[in-house]
This record gives sequence, C-alpha cells and structure tokens, in this order.
Amino acid sequence: MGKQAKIKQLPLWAGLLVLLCCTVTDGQAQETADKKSILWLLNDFPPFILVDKELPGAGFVDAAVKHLVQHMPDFEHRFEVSGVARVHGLMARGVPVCHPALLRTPEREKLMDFSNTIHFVLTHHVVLQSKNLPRFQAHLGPDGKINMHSLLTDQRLSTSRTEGRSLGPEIDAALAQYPQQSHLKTTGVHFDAPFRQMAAGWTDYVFAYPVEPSYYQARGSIPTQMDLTYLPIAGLKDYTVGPVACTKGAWGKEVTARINTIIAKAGPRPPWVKAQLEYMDAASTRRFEQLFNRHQPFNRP
Amino acid sequence: MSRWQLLFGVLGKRLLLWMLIINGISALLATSVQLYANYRQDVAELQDALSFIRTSQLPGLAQAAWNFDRQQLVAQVDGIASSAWVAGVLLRYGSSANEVVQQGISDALPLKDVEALPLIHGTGEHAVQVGSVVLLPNVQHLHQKTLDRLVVVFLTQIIKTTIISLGLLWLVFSMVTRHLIRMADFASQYRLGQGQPLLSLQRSNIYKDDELGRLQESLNSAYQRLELAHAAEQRHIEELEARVAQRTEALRTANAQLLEHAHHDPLTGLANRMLLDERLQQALVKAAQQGQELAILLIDLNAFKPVNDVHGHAAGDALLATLAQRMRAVLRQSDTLARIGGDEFVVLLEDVAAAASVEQVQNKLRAVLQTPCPWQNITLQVSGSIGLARYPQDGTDAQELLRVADTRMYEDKRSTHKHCR
Repeated sequence: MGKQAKIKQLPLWAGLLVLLCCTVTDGQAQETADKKSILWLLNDFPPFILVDKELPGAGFVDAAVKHLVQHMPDFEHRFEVSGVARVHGLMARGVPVCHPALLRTPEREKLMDFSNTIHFVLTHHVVLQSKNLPRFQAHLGPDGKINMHSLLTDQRLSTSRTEGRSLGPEIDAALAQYPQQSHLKTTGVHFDAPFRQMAAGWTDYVFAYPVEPSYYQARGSIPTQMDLTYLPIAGLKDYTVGPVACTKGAWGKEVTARINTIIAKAGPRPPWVKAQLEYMDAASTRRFEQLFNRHQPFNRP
Repeated sequence: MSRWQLLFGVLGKRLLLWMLIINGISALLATSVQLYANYRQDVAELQDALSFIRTSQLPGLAQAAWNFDRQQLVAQVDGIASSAWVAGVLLRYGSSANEVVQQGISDALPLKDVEALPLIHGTGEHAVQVGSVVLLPNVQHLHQKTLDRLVVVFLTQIIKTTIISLGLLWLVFSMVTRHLIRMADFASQYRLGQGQPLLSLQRSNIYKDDELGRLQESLNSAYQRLELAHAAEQRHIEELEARVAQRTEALRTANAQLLEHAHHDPLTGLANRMLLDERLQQALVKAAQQGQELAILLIDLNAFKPVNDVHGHAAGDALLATLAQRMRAVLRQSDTLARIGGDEFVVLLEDVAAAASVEQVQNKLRAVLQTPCPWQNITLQVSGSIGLARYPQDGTDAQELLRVADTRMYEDKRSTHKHCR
C-alpha cells in the first residue's frame, strides 16, 4: 500500500477511534447513571470516627455509616480521609460528599443538608485535670455547672480546640465572642491534640464530649493515671445529637432523605448505639441511658 | 631532530621544570587563599543555614509540636535534615518530652555539646515550650565540600599550570630557543669560504632590533669579517703561489739552460761530447735490440788553425758556427751532430740501411765543409777530413767505434794532405 493511500485512510481510523471512545464513555456514564455514588469524607474523630486501614473504621459513628451503607446498596459508597476544613471546602464548591458527624450550625446550614439524628451523645463538657479544679471554682455555679463566659474571660486559664471543629452552636458562639485571645488557642486537625496539650500542662481545660478523653486514655494518647474532671456547662442541653451532613442541593436532599428513611427503619435504639456504649465507662453509660430513655432521640427528627 | 625533541631539549626541560616550580608555588598560594576564602564562606553559609532554620523552621516545628502532629513533625524534620548543612535533627516534644522525632542522629554524634533549641508556642504569659530541637551542623559536609573544592581547585591549578608552562615553553621556544638552535646549527655548519648565505631567522623584521636580532646581526657581522679576512688570506696565498710558480719556472728554465750547457756546445749549439756519448750508448742499445746498423762520422776541419791565427778567433768561431749550421742542414732530424773538440765534429747516423746512403751523407758533408764562408769582408774556406766507423762491422761499443772512426779520419786527412801536395 502506498504512502498516499495510507494517509487517505487516516480520517477513517480517527473517526473509528472517536466512535469507540464515545461508546465507552457512554457506557460508563450509563453505569454511573444507573448507580449513584456517595463519597464519605471521614476525619479521625475518636471514638466517633476511627480512621483505620479499612474505612469506615471502628468508631460508633462508623458503625452507623456501615449500617447506612448496608441499606443503600443502590449507591456506590466510597470513602476518603479528610479534615473538616476540606469537607467544608468541597461542599462550598458543590462537590457531592457526605460527612457522618458534623454538628448542625448556622454556618454549615448554608453549605449542607442534614439528615435526622444519627448519633446521640452526652453534650460537651469542660474537661480538666482534677488537680486543677480549685482554679475553676470561681466559674462554677451552685448547680456545679460552669459559667462558660466567665471561664472564657479568665486569662489565667487557657484552652485549645481543633481548628474547624464545631463544639456545638453555644460554645462556638461563645468562643466567637473572644477572638485572638492568647489563652484561647487553636490546634491542628488532630482531635486528640487538645487533650494531649492539657495533659502536658500547656493548657488548662478542653471543651469535649465526655466520651472522648476516656477513649484517648484507653488508647494511651493521654496518661491513664491522669484524673480528669468533667464540668457540665451552664446553658447547654444535657445531650447533643448529630446528623449526617451532605452537600447542599438536590443530591444532598435526596441522600439525606434516603438516610432518614433508613434511620427511621432502624428503630428507637439503632444497632450502632451498642457500639457507642462500648466506649463509655459505667457512669457515663448510666447517664447516657437516662438521657437516651428520656429524650428518645431516634424517634424524632 | 623532530620539533618535539627540539621543544623538550635540555634548555626546554630545565625551563619547563622551573616554570612548573614557579607556577606550582603560585598555584599553591592561590589555591590556599581561595580555599581559605571559600572555607570562610562555607562557614558563613552554614551559620546562615542554621540561622535560617532557627528563624524560619522552628515556629513551624513549634506549631506542629503544639498540634501533636507527628506526621507534620516528621516531614519538617526530614526537610531540615535534608539540608546539606544539617547532619542530624533530634526533636523532643510532648508533655515530658517523651515524643522523639529524629533524623540523621547516631550514638557517635556528640549531642551533649550541642545546644537544644526550645520550641515555643504562643506569646506572652501563655507561651509554652512544646518541645526542643537539637540541630547538628554538618561539619563533615563542610570538610567534604572543602576537600572537594581542594581537589577541583588543585586539579584545575595543575591543568592550568601545565597549560601555562607548556604555553610559555612553546612561546620561549618559538621566540628564542629555536632561533638559538638555528644559530648553533649555523655556527656548527659554517665552513670558511663556502659562500654560505647569511644567518636568517624565521621571524618578522619588526623584531630585528631585539636581543636575538642583535645577536643575529653580530653573528652575521662576524661571519662577514671572517669571510673578508679569509678572502684576503686566499688572495695572499694565491699571490704567494704565483710567485712560487714564477720562481719555480725560473728555476726550471735555469736548470734547462744548465742542462743545455751541459750537453751542447755553446758556440755552435750542437751536442757536446757528453750528449754524444749518451746518445751513442742509447743508439747502440737500440741497434742491438732491433738489429739495426748505425754509422759514426768523425770530422776534423782542415786548415782551420790558420783561420784563427790569421783572422782571429772571432772569424774561427763564425766559421765553426756556419759550418755547423750547414752540416746540420744536410742531416736528418734524427741524426746527431756533435762538436767534440776545437774543430772536431761527430755525426751519429742511426738506422742506416745501406752503405751508399752513408756515402751520400759523407759527400754532402764534404761539400758543405768546402763551401766558402763569407765573414765580414773576407771569405773563409776550409775542408774536412771524415773517418767512418760502422756498427756492427767496425765495432760494437762506442769507444771502439770512435777509435775506428778516428783512425779513418786521420787516414782521410793524410790522404787529403798527400793529395793536396
């Protein structure tokens, strides 16, 4: 075959190639259309979310996610480890992702659609080393609850919190009133850092769920022999409920609606609550059970 | 001799050695200064690098230590340790500095002598030391860098020194040595009077006034003076040789004259007795060898004495000369006519075939002898008596033949006298 004849056949081959590519692409698109996907973004938030070799891990929110995955077989579920800041960023750009343990806040309402409650926990407390309790006496009320604003304005007592983490609307709002205060510090993406800073004596207290320090003590991140005191915060509910947050929009609404259906079907005491109790000591378990039974969080949105 | 051999001749080798020594010392000094300056610069760079780490990296480390972000700490420590100026980093953080991140640290390193830099997070009264970091300066790198630079600079200097030395050697060779060699060749090949051309050097005329040009000019001047002196000497020798030749010719002439005088009669020019004897001996040998005959005619003039007595010896001498000429005229060239006495002559006739021819010669001689000879205003007349002796009939040796001829001459004389009376 002559060289000119080969050149003349080039457009034919190019056309076939383009047709083949289009066919393959169409096939993939068809498959994607047939099976929607959910990209779950998970940050290491023990014991809610445990980032491990396999995702989702062994946290109790992970257990909830596993339940959702099991009951959403028509979705392709993918998992990535991501800090909270990245979750916010992707959602702000409209990328369809979900996070299973973000508290509902006014700022997040703008970016996210939230499901009904998927986890129920004892609310945030002020956690401190018991030996330092006398320094906090001035901020305690007669009911033993601590005055958050009094505490935050005490320059002698310092705290730190993980950047991007919400501590609930009340605490977030209180902290927002005292920006740039040297005794109100922030730390990086690791949720255990504030506890370790407190253990090192660099800070005096931490806003945290009571379930968190015990986990870190059990894991050895903070000394097990360190005696901790959990001070309830005045003005806060006794418990906190958390939803699944997905990127705001039609997709988010569809997914959260589907999740709500699954949660509803899971009953008043979903199976992942059992996993949560495994991370709690006896006192906390009792308190949890009291509150759980009183509020029945999974029976309502 | 090739150009390279010329280039690396004795002078070239010595020159190269000295240039290498001088350039080597110069290179050594330059290298030392440069290395010292570079070493100082490296030390400053090391200090700058450590200072940069202190000012730029420690806050990041403090933040990461504050965050208990081990991954970040490891990355930052690795980043710091990747600096060529840092041999190792040891970072301690945590509540009791029990968390350790290290890179490049070994037991062999002298950690105790190195100051631990505190990692401070926050400001004011809430600033906390979240850890400490030990930076081990990479002195080995400093030394290695200096060593590497030493090797590079040293090799560079060696190459430079070699190139410069060879270049200078080539320059000196081109400018001086080859011309000196040319001059040496010129001087060694010089031969006096060969008409060699003047020494010329392969260089531009614009250099004619430099030292080599002056040397060339001096050599050529000396050469020219030598040639002129040689030419003058040659001319002198030629003059001497000419004079010697002239003297030799004069001597030869004198010798010839002496020889002539020794073999000829000075009055008549005829052969004398000595020459006659020689020729007679030679003729006899020849005749004996070749079987030839020869004849001797001994002639004595008659009435010659009165001529002398009456007219004087001048008349007698003139008469003798005339008669000699006449006799010579009737003889063959090969015949010998000799005067052996006052008025006695001998004729040697060689290779005479017949007696008749001898007789004819006798008659001719008698005739010319009797022919009157005018002398001044008078006429002189004599006659001759001739005695014949023949070889081998009358004798085989000269003495015998002359005796026979003498006897027959006297017989002829007596016969003539008797006839005249």
